[in-house]
Amino acid sequence: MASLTFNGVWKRYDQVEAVKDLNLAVADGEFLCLLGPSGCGKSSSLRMIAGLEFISDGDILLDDRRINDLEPRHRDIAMVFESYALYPTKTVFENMANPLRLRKLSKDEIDRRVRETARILEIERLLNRRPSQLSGGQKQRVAIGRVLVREPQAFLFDEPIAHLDAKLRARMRGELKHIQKTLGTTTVYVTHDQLEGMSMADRMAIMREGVLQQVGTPHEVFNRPTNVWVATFVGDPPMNILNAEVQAADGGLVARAPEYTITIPAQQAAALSSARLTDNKVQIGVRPEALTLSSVRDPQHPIAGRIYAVQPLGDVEIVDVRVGDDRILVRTELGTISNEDMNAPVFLGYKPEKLYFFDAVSGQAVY
Amino acid sequence: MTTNPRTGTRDDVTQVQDDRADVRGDDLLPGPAVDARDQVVRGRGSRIAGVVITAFLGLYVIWTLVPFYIMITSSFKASDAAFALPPEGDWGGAVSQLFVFSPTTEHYRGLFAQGEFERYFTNSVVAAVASAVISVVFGTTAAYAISRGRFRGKRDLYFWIISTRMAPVVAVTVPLYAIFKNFALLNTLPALILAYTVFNLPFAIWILKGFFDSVSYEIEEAYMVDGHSRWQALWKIIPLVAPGLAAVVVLCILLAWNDFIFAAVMGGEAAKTLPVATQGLKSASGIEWGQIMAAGVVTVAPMLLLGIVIRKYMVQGLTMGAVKQ
Amino acid sequence: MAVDTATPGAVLGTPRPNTPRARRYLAPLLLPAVILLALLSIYPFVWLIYMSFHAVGLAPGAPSEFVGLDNWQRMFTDSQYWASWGVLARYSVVSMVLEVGLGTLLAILLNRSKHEKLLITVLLMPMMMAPVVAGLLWQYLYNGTFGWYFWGLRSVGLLDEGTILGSADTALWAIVAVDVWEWTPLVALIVLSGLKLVPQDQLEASWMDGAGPVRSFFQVALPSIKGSLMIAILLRFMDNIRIIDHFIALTGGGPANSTKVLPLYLYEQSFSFFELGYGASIALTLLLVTILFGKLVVNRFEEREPRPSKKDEELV
Repeated sequence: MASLTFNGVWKRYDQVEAVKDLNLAVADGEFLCLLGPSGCGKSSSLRMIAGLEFISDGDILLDDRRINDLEPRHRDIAMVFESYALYPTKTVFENMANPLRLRKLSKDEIDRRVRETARILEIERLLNRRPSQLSGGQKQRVAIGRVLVREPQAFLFDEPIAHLDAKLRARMRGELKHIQKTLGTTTVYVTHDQLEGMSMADRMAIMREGVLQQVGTPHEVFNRPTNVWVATFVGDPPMNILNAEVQAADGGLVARAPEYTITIPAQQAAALSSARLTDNKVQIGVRPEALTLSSVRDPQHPIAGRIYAVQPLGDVEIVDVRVGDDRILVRTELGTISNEDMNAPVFLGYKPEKLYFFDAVSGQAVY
Repeated sequence: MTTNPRTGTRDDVTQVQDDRADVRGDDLLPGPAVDARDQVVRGRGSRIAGVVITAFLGLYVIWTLVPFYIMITSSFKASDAAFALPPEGDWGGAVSQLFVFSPTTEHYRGLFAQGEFERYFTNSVVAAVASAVISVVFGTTAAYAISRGRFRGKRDLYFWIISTRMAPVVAVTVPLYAIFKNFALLNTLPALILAYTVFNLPFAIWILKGFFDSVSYEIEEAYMVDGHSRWQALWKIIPLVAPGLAAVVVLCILLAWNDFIFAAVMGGEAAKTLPVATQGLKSASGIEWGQIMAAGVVTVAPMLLLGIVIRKYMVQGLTMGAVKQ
Repeated sequence: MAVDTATPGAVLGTPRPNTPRARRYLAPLLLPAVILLALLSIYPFVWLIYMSFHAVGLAPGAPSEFVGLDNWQRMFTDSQYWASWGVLARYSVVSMVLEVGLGTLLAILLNRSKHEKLLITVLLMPMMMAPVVAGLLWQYLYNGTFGWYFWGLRSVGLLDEGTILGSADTALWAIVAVDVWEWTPLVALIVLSGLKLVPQDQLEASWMDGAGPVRSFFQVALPSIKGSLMIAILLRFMDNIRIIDHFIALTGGGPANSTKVLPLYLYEQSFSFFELGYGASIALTLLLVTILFGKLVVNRFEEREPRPSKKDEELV
């Protein structure tokens, strides 16, 4: 096991810069999730670690060793591919034994390790099958098994569960996390699904258009996003964003839009007045679960809106509210409001300490 | 890879319910359980339509097979009397003439008695197999490189390759004849082998590229991450295109074996192949149809057998890969 | 799909080797074939151009004499050259219409038949036959003394006098029939592969809209087999220019040049009269037409290539 370090890494294709000056350290034994939408450079970064992509600029270190020029086979890193990349002509056993045979392990040792791994993954009964006889979930387990038997320096996962259905994904998230924690192997996990990052990673590194946006624990990223893009990317349903203007009032600051006026808490007001906003424009972020609803206007529910749609989800429901031209999602207890008819008037309340403020031009969060 | 024709979805994506080791038997049988034909609720008149369809297909099969039948039976008919036609309109006589005769192998024996026909057969085999092997060996490496590589001019390279394959045979024969004459290669098997390679090599590249395209590069990457070198990884995926290789070998053999123009112009007597020899029987004194049909059977039979062996890839090959089955 | 890779990778699009080392290792794989093919196609092509400006000497080592544009001038004023284009066009168009019509019908019926696999095997058989042997076989069938098809046509009263191949009125159509016999199955199989791609849900949608079988064919099936039909047509045109074995075996161009298609005329000029220089000029014009057709074919093929997928976009 080892640590992994990106030092000013660039990846350029003919025209496109896929990864721009990536600096990132993955600690020994850490589960790091590279998160971002498709095309953000996360896969390229992963493939550079594996040695499947040439590093245009910068260095990648495994522990303290520069691995830029090593061929994939000399890096001792294992990888699970998005397509699983099982060897179609080999049985499950041979798929898993393949990397071990190359390491010249004894026959008994190979047999022992493959069976042990198969037991952990509950695929013992599939060992004599071929990939074409497996379901998607089974293939995925075999692909993971091929990685686990090796005990390599690091695990790389490239969207390993993206092709499974929602139920199975939920279970695999738990299993992968458990396995990683059990083995303690350094892991880099690429996904576009923020839920996978939130639920499994020790830390998340969020990328957008080749640029690293933020690195932090899921808790940090969720609660203190560095910019409006990260804020809306993480969390489901996503954070609501309202456009407003900052104005001075009663010795403090307020954010004003035609439909509402929000008093900005003192601490954030101080930060906002020291941040130089263009034309005083600000974006207010508020998560659906930080909003409350009421059928009547009262001091706690000052913002007037109309119901657009209600999505019940068992014990909670997502209420889609129109405020002016903005649509705001509110996550609330079932039965909070009595009249759920379309266009019924409804009043929104918020917790001031749960508001985020972003520079409307740069998108940077102001804390 | 199986695709459900009804929904257009891929089974291995949708069929993920059961991922545990205790798979049920039905887990192994992906694909539609329902026959697509059953989806149509048969309306009135479908019975008549069914009869018409069967009749048409039946007639078409007869139209296709009758020449084969006549070729084969004629090759076993002895004398001129057996070849005589009944009076016009005498359908009963025609039936007995077509189906009742005492078979003889004299035409086949006659063919091989001259002592030359075995040599023509060998020439055909050597020219076809050699050209197929050259084409597949060079074609495999090139097809791999084209499938995996991204380089400038790839489109032009494509076009050049496929247009070579589609060049008119006679138009290619004209300069090759002059060139081979200069190199004193006329009337030799190497001339024929090279000439067949003009068409077989681009064909092999073209078809095999399609086969390599359908092998995910991630499989090679997986081998490399497992600890193989790049060359080993390439070698490891060859079994995945093996059906393609077999099909291309057969199709190259077929093309070379069935050629007439090249062999007629550049083969001479020394490198005469079966089609030329068969056509040559015609110009001999009087036309001995029995013997020509026997030669035809000898020429066609091996290809029919090979064709049936790779039936699955035949259409793909004959359409330059435009059609995959 | 041709190869079962048992992974979704082929669908996602194939990532390519992207390291300089990878590019370096592709070159030695590509070059031998490219060099061999260049020797076998570009070198002769240059020769062909050279020959078209020369009277090519026949004796071994005999020099070729530069004749400027003589061959070209002769070609443009040669009435048989133009007549042969006409015969080729008539032959191609008629056999094409028959093969596409019959082949499409056959494909539709095959698609509904329970014996599809068996029938396809039968249909493949004529295509395995060496064209020159097919020509000889049909010459026998058409023969005025021994030919069963000749006898049949006479018996049902379709043929009153003369022989089939001996008459300028019927010889070309007799060869068309051979082409139809040998190659209609190819058209049928191409169209059949197109029919398999007809989206079943669209068909069902058109039934729900109240369309009958004929209407839903034109509405749903035809648009999705259009590409296949186009490929079939182009490939058949291509082969009509490429292969003249039927003509050589059946008529050799006669009677009265009524079946002398252009490639056959080229064959005769080059290898019966050994006018290789003149032949080279004709060959170049044939090649030109082939290349234009080839461009159309390649464009068709590329339309069928899968579009770049998410993965590819990410890597580009």
